Amino acid sequence: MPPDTDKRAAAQQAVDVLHEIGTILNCQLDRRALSICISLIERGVNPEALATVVKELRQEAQQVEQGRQS
Amino acid sequence: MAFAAQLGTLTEELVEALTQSSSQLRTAPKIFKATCDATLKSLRSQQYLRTNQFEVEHNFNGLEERFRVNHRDDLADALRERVNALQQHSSKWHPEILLLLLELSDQPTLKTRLSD
Repeated sequence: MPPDTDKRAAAQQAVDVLHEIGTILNCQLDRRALSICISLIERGVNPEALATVVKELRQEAQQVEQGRQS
Repeated sequence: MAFAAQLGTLTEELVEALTQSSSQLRTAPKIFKATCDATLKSLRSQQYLRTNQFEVEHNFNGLEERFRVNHRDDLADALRERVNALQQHSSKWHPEILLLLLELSDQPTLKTRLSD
């Protein structure tokens, strides 16, 4: 396998393991959302701020949906 | 500039991924844009020092112990196995990512079913 493919495969495996840890911790992050969060962290975003934002977005989506249904 | 654009694109993707269940947020461009802008502002406004990897490790050890005390050896074993596996793919960002997962963790002792 070329080195780039090796690196990509290793990165995928790491995301798989992180996703499994997220499942064990009941973080309710699917693989896509987790990958986006990882990319944001790799660009210097504060993980605690990111966690707050994730919780707020979930809450907001839930409120909008509840408002629409009532 | 490219960095700012990347952050903006990722923020939009995050908002989209986390609000998939909310059809109204996704179909109203103004609300979607306002949500993306507010999210980006929150993420940008918080600078931080690097996460203390030893503290994160300590928290994971504590979590494993808590699982065992609460008779969730299945979770403790699964967690230990994954944390060990992660060490084979070392990355300088893993402490930050693990901290994010700890922050988002929601009562795993009670709610996690490994069969899921």
